[in-house]
Parts: sequence; structure tokens; C-alpha cells
Amino acid sequence: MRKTRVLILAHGHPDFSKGGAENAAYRLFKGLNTRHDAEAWFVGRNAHAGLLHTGTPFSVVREREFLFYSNTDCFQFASLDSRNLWRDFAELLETVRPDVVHFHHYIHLGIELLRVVRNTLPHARIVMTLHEYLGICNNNGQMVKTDGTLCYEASPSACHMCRNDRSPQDYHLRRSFIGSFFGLVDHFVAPSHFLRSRYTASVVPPEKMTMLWDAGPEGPVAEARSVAEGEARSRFVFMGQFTPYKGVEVLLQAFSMLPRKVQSSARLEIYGTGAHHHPEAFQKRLRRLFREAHTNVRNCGPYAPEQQATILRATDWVVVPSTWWENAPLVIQEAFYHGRPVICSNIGGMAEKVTDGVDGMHFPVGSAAALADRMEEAVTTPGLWRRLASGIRPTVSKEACAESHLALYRSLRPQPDATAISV
Amino acid sequence: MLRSLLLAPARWLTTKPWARPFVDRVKAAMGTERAADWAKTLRPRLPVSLRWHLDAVHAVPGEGVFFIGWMLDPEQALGGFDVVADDGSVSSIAERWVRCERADVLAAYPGESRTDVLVGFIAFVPISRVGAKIAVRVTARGGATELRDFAAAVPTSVLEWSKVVLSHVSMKHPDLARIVALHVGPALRGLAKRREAPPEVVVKTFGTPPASPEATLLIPLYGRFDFIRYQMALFADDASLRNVEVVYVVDDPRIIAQAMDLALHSYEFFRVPITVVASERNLGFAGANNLGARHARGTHLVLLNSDVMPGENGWLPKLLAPLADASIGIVGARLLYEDGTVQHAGMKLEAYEPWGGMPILVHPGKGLPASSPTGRVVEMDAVTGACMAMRRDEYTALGGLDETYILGDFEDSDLCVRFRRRGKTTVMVDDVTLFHLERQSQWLMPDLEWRHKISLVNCWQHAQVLKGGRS
Repeated sequence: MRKTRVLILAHGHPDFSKGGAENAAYRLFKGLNTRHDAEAWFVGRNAHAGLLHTGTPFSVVREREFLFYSNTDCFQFASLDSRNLWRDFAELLETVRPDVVHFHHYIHLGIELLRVVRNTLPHARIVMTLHEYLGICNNNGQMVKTDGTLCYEASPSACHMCRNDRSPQDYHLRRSFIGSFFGLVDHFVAPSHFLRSRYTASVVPPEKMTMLWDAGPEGPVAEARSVAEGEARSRFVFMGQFTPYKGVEVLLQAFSMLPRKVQSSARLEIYGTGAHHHPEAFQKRLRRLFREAHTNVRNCGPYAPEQQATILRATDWVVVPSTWWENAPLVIQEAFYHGRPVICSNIGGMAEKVTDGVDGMHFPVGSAAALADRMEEAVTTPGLWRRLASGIRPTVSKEACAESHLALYRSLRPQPDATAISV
Repeated sequence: MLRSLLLAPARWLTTKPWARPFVDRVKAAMGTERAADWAKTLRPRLPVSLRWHLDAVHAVPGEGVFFIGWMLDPEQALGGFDVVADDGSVSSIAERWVRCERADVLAAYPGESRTDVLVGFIAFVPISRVGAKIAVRVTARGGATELRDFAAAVPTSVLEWSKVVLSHVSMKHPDLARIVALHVGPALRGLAKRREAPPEVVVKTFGTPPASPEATLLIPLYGRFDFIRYQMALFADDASLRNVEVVYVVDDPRIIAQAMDLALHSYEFFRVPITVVASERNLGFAGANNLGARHARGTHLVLLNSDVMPGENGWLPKLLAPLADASIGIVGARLLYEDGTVQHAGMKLEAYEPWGGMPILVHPGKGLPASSPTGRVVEMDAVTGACMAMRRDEYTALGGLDETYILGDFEDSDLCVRFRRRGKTTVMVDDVTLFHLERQSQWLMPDLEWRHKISLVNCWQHAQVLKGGRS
């Protein structure tokens, strides 16, 4: 049997950039290469000029793994003036001659690469996994409005009211321009039903988008924290970026609202970094919250993925208090892989991946008081932790992920003509 | 007093043929110049209360002369105010002029006129042979005359000239329609009609357009050129556009180089062949389309604005379908704003009383939510030039769009009227989804009042066509 050749593209390489989308793409690449009937290549966008060679956008990471240096604007993700980039990319396509080109992103890479694939390899199947809502939303693809409220539906008028540095006409052009490239994709993959519903309601025809799980983590599992007889399951952890959307503020406020008795027995460890990329006002609020936090709250700073098992070994609960919808948060997969129940906001991808009362608990998004109630419950309800921990289903292995993706690739027939532009 | 007493006999002498030798000798002795002065003093003088001035004397070659000026005449001493042509023929200014307010004049001559009198005037006087010099004569009731020569300049910019002229015309003037019909309209049209030397044109084709295209999409670009990329993104995957030629007309020298570069990029990337026709001078909407049409090869011609974006593929065949019927001349399409509001669904003519009952164009359905398409072909008085399809040979036979309208207004309807005169109707289809991302910025632009007045002038010109005065 001829091997199915798959070229996977992501907006970063996990060696240099640790985001969830890069990880998901990379695990799929690894999973495909464990098989005898598939061969995969990985191209991650290079964000570091220091790793760039002269006269070529490519640099090699290891066998079948490349970096590709490119840049786009953040409104339409176009790098239209980069004629040389397309030529070099086309050359790579002609060298690898993949049957499937699977994009895990287009930001920074350039949405035009989709058309370069179509121009260069008319019969290759183009697959794209979407990880956030950038194709719909100009506010960092979060579908959260600039005033902090959740966004349910994008439209040129609503988007202009949210970010009025662009006109409604600009938003129409953005949507139809991105839509024209989406029209070249043979099939989309959504890592959550929630994300799928958002895209199929606007720019992607429902029959062209399937929900498939991302691959979960690998390696030794962190065993449950050993507790003394009668000791409460009172250790909480937050792992993620410090952005206004990740809800660190909600969590810090929630801890300060816990009854004093609970506070003194509980621990909250916060791992993360990146506040400096965000507005000064946010940084200031965060600094103040940390300064005023209970002594049992620890700001542990950044962490490496290799430390994850170690960190989780010392905790009972993983808190995901995001104030945006999320998609299929990596941190939830990681928590479940290591058998830790999750306390999360009751919206979007979080509410989908964590079942309230089965493998975790929900609280109303943004409500510190409600989160405090859940945390108190978690500490004080005997047997709750054990019950929820045993409700956790196994995460998807990279092999299973590769299997499901390969089945999808093979179900796609090259299309003679893309017809619908969804506007 | 003394001077006039002394001059009276001298004046009497000049009127007598038997005294000619004497008078001539006096003139020779005094030198020609001084003699002319002397002769002038001999003529009866206008009453001092009759003051007049011409701010502007503009020649409209082959058509006439346009005057802007003022006259103070508190004693109503004026007998005649005329243009005297080289051949001696006389045309009256005062029988035609339109008086208008001149607060500046009243302020400069306090107490010399009642302040409720319109002391200013504008007048267009038709004269077939307009020379570089214009003689204007004022005659008082008593017979005294004053003759002055003026240099008659031909305005270099019609637009700038129209601003000056129209600044003297109030939109509230009770005679507004007459002012436009007799003065501003004919003069502006006369100026606009003058053909400048053809512009320098560069034509570049990127890719190989179809050998005998079914249609040419003719798209003028002015100011913004980035629309090329958006249109190409939306044309590239539409199989029904394979046998179509795309022609961009760039008549904005500021963007020619960038537009050419983007066209090249877009062609390499989207693989839709593009022809760019670049003019080093702005030609206006009609001029740009007419230039483009001369380079078009399609059986059909589709005039398309650069900010019209298809919402789905397959729109062109639907737009062209009604043209299978030979009695149909022009097809327009329902256009939507980006939020789904109807931007255009055809135009109807309607008499507008404030403008003397001249027909204006109204837009039925505009502003309403887009209802589901009926698929019907509906006859209209006119459709917008932002998107109109027709047979190219018919467009060419009619001479294309009339380039004498100012600022792009009414010429689309004008074309529909002229098609109709040839027995070809204008229709509208509503089963295509096209967005017209028309910006509202024109309301934020300066000179809004001037734009209104220009619209009125265009409306008058259009009304002339409707009356059948021109084809």
C-alpha cells in the first residue's frame, strides 16, 4: 500500500513555542509517523530572525521538520507582497509532494499559503484545524468584546461597534477575503463541538467540518497526591498564560473570598507568565491581586512542559477560569491525562470537555464568588475528589488521533471545483 | 462744473462733420493716447450713482460669455447693459441676468443702496463667436454710455470654476431652476463638452485573457487600489468567470504604479488575467469607463465599481441572462450593503417640485432589508452605473457614457434614456448577491452645498436628454 504523505503546518514549532495548537499539530505529526501507511512532515513558522538563513525562508529542525519564516498582518493574515515566500513554499510542496496538506493555523504563516497549495498541487487535499475564532473575530479571535462581555455572533456592524478602528465595510472585506481562502479547504477539523458550531454558523459549510479530538499528552502519569487520613483534597493549581482572557484575576479573587478556615488549609499555585504582553492596566491589577493574596497563594512563575507531572503530583484540582470561550484547552487534557478533576468556567470548549459533576465542576464564567463556592465544596465534601477523579475518561493518544485523521484524509476526494464562497 | 462748461462746445464740435479736420489736428497735436482720453471725456458720462463692476468674464468657446459682477443703481438710471460683439451685434446682459446677494458690495458702499436689493448678478450670454476680448457697454437712460473692454479667459478647471459660479447661487433662490437652465447649466455643459487632448494612456496585460471573452468587467479605480485583491479573491474560484476579461481603468496618477504592481501580484497568485488601462489624467467616471470600453473585447460590457463584491459565485451569468432578449438593453443588479440593507434596487424618475418639476432619480427599496430574491426581471427607468451590463457594440454605438456630467451623477440614467430611445429597455435582476461597500464619506467631505448644486446642474442636463433634446 502506498503511504499517505501528509505535510502538517503550524504557526510555531513546539521546540520554540509551547502553545496548544502547536502541540496538537506536532503530536499528530508524531502519531502519523508511527504508522506504516503514512508519512508526515512538519513545518512550523519561524518567529526568530536569528534562526534564519540568507536567501531561504526554511531552516531544518530535524528530519522532516522545518521552520518557515514568514509574517502577516493581524487583520486578514495576508502576506501578499511575499512573492518569494510563495515560490519557496511551492518548491517545498513540489519536493515533498504530499497527498494531504494539513494546516493547523494561518496566522503568521499567511492565509495565501492555502492558495499556493491549490495552485501547486491541484489534487492535494487541504485540511485545516481551527484552534480559535480568528477567522470570525478581530478581537484576538476570542469572541469576547472589547468591553469584556462575551460575543455570540459576529457581523460587520457588531464587529465595528466592538473595535471601531475598522469600518463595517472593512469587516465585510475581511470576512469575504478570508472566506475565499477557506473555500479552498477540502475539510475542516474542529477540536471541539463548540468551535465547530461557531464556524459552521458563519464561514464554514457544516458538511465541511468535523469534530476530532486533539492528541493528549504522553509520558509517566503523575500519581494522586498522597493524603493523610482525613486530610482534605485542598491543593489547586492554575497553569496557563497570564492574559486578560485566562481568568487569573477571577481565581485570585475567588481564593480571597474563601472562608478563613478553608483558606488556611488550602493551597493555590499559579504557574504562568506573559502579562507583559498585555495592557499596563491588566498588569497593574494582577500585581495588586498577587500582593494582596493570602499567604497560601503562590505565584510560581513560568514552567516547562517537562515539569508538568511534577507540578500535578503536588496538587488535587486544576482550575481553568477562562473568561473567553476556549476551544479544547490543552490544560484540561493534561489534567485528565494525570487524573486531576477540573474546575472550569461554564462556557464554550471548557463546559464541553469537562462534565459538571462527572469529571469536574463548572462555575458561572467570571464569577469569583461562584468559583469560591466550588473550591470550598472541593475542599470540604468528603469523597468528591475520588468520585470526580474516577469519572475521568482516558485522553486520546497520538496514535488514535493519527488514526482518526488518516480516516478523514482518506474519505476526502479531490474536488473538481470549489464553488461556494461563504460570506 | 467749470470743466463741463468748457467741454460742452468741444463735444458739440466733435459731432459736426465740417469740424473733423480741426478735431483731427487737435488729436494729432495731443498724441493718440491723450486724444482718446480727451475723446472719452467728450462723451456724456454715466450718472455717478450708477456703479458697476465685473468680477469675472469667462469665455465658453463657441457658446457664450459668463459674467459675474455687481451693479449699484439706486436711481434706476440704467438703460441698457450689453455685450457688443466684434461685428457690432449687441446681446443684452440685463435682459438675462440673475441678480444675487452681494453683502460685500453693500458693505463697501454704505448708504448707496437699499440693503434689501440684490446688487450682484451672474449672467450667461450666448454668443456664437467668442474672442479673447469682450466689449461691455452700459447705457444710461439719458443716453450716456460707457464702453469697456475685458479679457475673456477660458476657465482651466471646470470643477473649480463651478465652485466659484455656484457660490453666487443660493439653493433657496426662487428662480433656481431658471438660473440653472439659462445660465449655469449651458455654461458648465459648454465647458465640460470641450475635449481636452486625449490623455497619455498605458495599457498592460498580466496573463493571457480569453481570446474572445463573453464579457468584459470594466472597473475604474480612483484613490483606492487595494480592492483589486479583494475582487480577485472573489473572482478566482468562480468557474463562470473563466471566459471573462477583467479591465481596470486607473485614472489616478497617484496610484498607477502601485495598482500595476498589485495587478501583477494578484495575477501571479489568483491566476486571473488582468488588463490595466492607466491614464495620466483623471477622466471622471464616464471618461474612465469610455476609455476602458475602447480597450475592451468582450461581447458584453459590465460596468462595475471596484467596491462591488460578489457574495457568491455564478453571479455574472444571471446578470447577463436577460440580454438574450434583444429588446432589453441594460441589466442592473440588486446591490446590498454589508449588513444586508438594500443599497440599490433600480431607479425611478420622479418630478421634483422644488427644482421646477425636473425629474430626479429615486431609489425604491433602498434602505429596506433584502427580501428573498424573486428571480423576476423587472423593468426600471434606470439602474446604477456601479453595476450594469449591456452589449458592448450598443454601448459603443451610443458613444458610451456622457462625459459632460460633473462628478459622476445621472450619467447612468442618461445612458438608460438613450438606450430606451433606441427601443432597448433597462431591467433589474434580484437573484444575484452583490455587495456594494459604498462609503458614506461623501457626507463628511467639504463643499457639501456645492455638491448639491452640481447635482442640480446634472439634473437639468439629464432633464434635457429626457425631453429628447439630445441623443
